[in-house]
Amino acid sequence: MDFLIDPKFWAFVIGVYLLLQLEPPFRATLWFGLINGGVLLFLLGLPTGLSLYALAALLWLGIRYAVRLQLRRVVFVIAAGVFFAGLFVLHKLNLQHSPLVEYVQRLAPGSAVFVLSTLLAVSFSYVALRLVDMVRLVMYEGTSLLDPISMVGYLVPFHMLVSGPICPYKEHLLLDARKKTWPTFSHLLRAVSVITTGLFYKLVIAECMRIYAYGLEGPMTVETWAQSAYFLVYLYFDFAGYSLVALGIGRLCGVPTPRNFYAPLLASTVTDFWTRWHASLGSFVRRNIFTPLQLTLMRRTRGRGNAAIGLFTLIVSFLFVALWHHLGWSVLLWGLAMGVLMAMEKTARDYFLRRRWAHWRSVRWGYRIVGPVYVFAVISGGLLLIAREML
Amino acid sequence: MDAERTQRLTEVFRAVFNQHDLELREDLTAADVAGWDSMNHVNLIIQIEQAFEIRFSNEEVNSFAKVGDLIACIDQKLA
Repeated sequence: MDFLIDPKFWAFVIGVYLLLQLEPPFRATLWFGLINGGVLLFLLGLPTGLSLYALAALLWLGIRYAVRLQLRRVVFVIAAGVFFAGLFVLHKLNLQHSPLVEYVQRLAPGSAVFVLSTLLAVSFSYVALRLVDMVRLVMYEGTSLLDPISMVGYLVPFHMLVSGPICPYKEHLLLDARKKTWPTFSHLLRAVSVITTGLFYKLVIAECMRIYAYGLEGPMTVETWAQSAYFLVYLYFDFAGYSLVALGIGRLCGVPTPRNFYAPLLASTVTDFWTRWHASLGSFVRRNIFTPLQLTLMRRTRGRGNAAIGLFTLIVSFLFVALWHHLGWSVLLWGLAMGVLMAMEKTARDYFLRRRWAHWRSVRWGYRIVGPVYVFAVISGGLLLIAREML
Repeated sequence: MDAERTQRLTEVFRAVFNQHDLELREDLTAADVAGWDSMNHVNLIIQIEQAFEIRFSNEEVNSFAKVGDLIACIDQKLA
């Protein structure tokens, strides 16, 4: 929230908007990367900002090297996987506050500390997911690799610092293909409307709900189903608020920023809920885990056993989502349960379609009215299961 | 796409979605066909790959927004 109520941040937004209206003599992704870099150095501080660029340069070199030596793709992927898994575990076990890291910090005060903290932040965040999307496309689909400055513009865009949506790498590259046009008044008005709606969600609705239930500085606790339901609504306004602010700034500046929420609390099935809640994460999982895994397995079986493969890929995808949020047994169980539930919904839906019951008016009305109640009960129940471990 | 290919593609769609009266249009999307979800999408792709003896990349599979995109990609691969 600190960013949202910091006048400096909004001054930067206006500055970035004005600078992006200029026509630079080079690619739009590089122009945005340069401007974004300047803002990051101010917002994150010089040491963290510089270590971020040092890391980006190293990554860039590593990816270029791996692309050139195509035969070593497997080695590269394994090395990158082990690197990320290590950082992920380090972060999830909260090791950045462990005596070991404190010891390293005492040994090497200065830049090493910032590199370490930057690494740990990257391991957990949306930045890591954007990086995975980029590496997969560059390594396997032959998509071009951006230079390190433009790359940071894609991986760490200033307006998605807090809890940003995960923009597909291909969409970011479209920035270079866009024709430069001057924004119209209605375009500006629409972008400002999205930003103010986001601010209203976050600073008015979510904050009022938080202060009313937990006090000004009180810890958030979830002990009962009713508290869990309340917390789910709070979480929606908080997260959707942040996402709308990012979306509005993206639209204002013409930087590709995906929409993250599509009225998830009106979803009629759990499957539908997860396509509407944090939609960019769902899309990331579909692009990078679900589809490639299912395609590979179904090609191997030549299309046989698609139900079992579908169930398996759903569970694997949700286990990833669960682990990405937190490393713990209840979260793992939650991910497994969500995957199984979605597979059951899929089976039921296919059965209804085969029997042609799905077209009955009573079934359609039941789906529309009972569906959102069922989804709310399931999602808030699931939240109750994981809240104690996560909050 | 010629008539023979269109017929073959239509048969694949009808078999995957179990709709024997389904007619393909270029602007047909997943929202227009009951049962066209992400899981059946992959199943559809596999059946098309087998019927036309072609292979799609992951990015192509994720990029098909409507039947017209799919037809264009098949035509390009068979050209």
